[in-house]
Amino acid sequence: MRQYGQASDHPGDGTGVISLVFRAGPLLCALALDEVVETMRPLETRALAGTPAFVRGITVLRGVPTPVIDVSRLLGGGTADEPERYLAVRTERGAIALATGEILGIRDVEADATGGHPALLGGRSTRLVAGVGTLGTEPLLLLQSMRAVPDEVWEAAAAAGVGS
Amino acid sequence: MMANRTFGAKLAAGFGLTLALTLVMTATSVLALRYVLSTKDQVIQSARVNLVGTEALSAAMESRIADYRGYLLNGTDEYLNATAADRTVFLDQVTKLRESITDPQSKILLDAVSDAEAKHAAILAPVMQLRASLTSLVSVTQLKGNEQVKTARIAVQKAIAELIARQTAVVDSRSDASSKRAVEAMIFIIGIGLLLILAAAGVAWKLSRDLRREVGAAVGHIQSSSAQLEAAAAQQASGGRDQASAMNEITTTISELLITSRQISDSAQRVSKIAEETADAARNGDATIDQTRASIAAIRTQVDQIVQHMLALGEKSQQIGGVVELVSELAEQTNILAINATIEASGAGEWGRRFAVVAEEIRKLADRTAGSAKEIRALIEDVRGAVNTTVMATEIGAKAVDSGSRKFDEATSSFRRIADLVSTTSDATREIELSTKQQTTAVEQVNVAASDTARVTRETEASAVQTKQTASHLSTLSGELLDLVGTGRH
Repeated sequence: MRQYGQASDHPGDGTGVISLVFRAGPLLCALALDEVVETMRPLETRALAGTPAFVRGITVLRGVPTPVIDVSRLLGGGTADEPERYLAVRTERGAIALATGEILGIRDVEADATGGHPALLGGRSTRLVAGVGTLGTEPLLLLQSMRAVPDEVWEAAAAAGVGS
Repeated sequence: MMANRTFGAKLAAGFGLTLALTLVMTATSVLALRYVLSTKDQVIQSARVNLVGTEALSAAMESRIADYRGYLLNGTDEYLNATAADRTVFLDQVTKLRESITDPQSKILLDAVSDAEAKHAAILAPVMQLRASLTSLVSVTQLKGNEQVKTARIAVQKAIAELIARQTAVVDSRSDASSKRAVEAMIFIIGIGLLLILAAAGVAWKLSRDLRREVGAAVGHIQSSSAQLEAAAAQQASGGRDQASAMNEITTTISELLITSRQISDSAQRVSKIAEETADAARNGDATIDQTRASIAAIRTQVDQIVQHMLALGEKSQQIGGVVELVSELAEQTNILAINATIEASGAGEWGRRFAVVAEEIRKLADRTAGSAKEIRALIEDVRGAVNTTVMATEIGAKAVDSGSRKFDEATSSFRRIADLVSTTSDATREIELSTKQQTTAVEQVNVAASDTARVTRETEASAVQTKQTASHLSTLSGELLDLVGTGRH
């Protein structure tokens, strides 16, 4: 029995991945379903000093202090709109919460590998986007969450958790 | 002081003053004459008593000398007695003169005469006794002391001569003084006379001047007043003519006014009739106004009920909104739960995938429920908006009804005021009618009075012409009077 917040045993191969599709600002994003722990309404979040702009702060998920990442800001395309949903996502270092827009549902997402599109997926995004597909007429970014959170954020979150 | 007196008083005062001065002159003349007379009396007295007495003294002395010479020659008692009588006469005369003489120097001289005579008598007495002892006288040398007697006699005669000379001088000086006083009295009387003449001339001049000035001024005033009166009478005459013609015009105008008054009276009567009819119509309008007011009140009530119903509808919509919110909340919760169920099911193999299909269907149902709830919410919002708009419109309608009601009230009160005013107008018109009738009567009376006034004006004109003639005559008379007084025509 795997624990809440841990990564799945089988990583996605980039094609035909069952994913949770959601909006992040103007973008349409998807996340492999085995990385997702649960969805919920936005929880009370406290801002953290000394963290990048895409970190909204820290919240408490099931009794565990968890950093909250604003996906729209993380991908660099969004404004600071109030999120509609929080997604609890597994990472190597534990669960994180992604602040997202509307959740559209579960889809079987066909996404190309990121290597063929350096112009689209260069820079920081290469660590985040596993591939790019479409949903209807809109582009769909398939995200990978494992390396999304910088180490200093974890340290800050840990410090806040100790402090609280 | 005399300026305010009448001319008669001035005349009397002038004559009185002249008479008083005449009396004063007469009295002073009498006094002066009396004074001169007394002075002359004194001169005569002095000449008659003193000078003649002194001469008598000389004569007595000469008589005694002759007598005692006779005695010395004859030795008879006759001469002795005569010389004694002569001495007595001499001494009596001396005594008289001593009483009557007032001149001090004459008195001294009289004393000297008396002393010389006494000395002479004393020297003469032994010689007389010696002669008495002699029975016959052969030679004068027998008589001793003859030379002393001679010397004493000459001294007495000299003293008497001096006294006479002094008395003569005194009489002359008194006579001169008397003449001088008589001349002074004459000059005084002449002066008084001149003063009297001057005063009389002054009084005459003053009276003449006053007569000329006052009577002249008065007559001058009369003349100028007569001229003014004449001018005024001429003006009055021409004014009377103008007034007569004006009165004729007035009479004509009054006649026209009379006709107009009658027309006004008729018009007022017609207006009164119309006003009464209007008042009746206004009274009939009152019932219609009451009905209209009741209708407006009913509309107001209906509008209030509509507002109440609309507000109730709004509240119900709000309640429906609450229910829809709950449904929406449940749908959202179901959606989240369905997604989480799908996530959980995806890691549970084949059975899990079938459950995931069911969960997805549940999620879709929840989505549809949420969509429907959203639509219902929008519809409810529309309903609430419509209710609000309706309430506002109804409120505006209610206000419009209120405003209309107020306007109608104002219109009603205006209508009633109009009715009252029409009633007042009717009364006023009746009063006007009455007043116009009275006015017509008054104008007729004024017409009669104007005719009388025109007649009186003509008479006044005639009398003014007469007054003018009289004033002209008076002016001529004044000129003649001025000529008489001596002021002449101005």
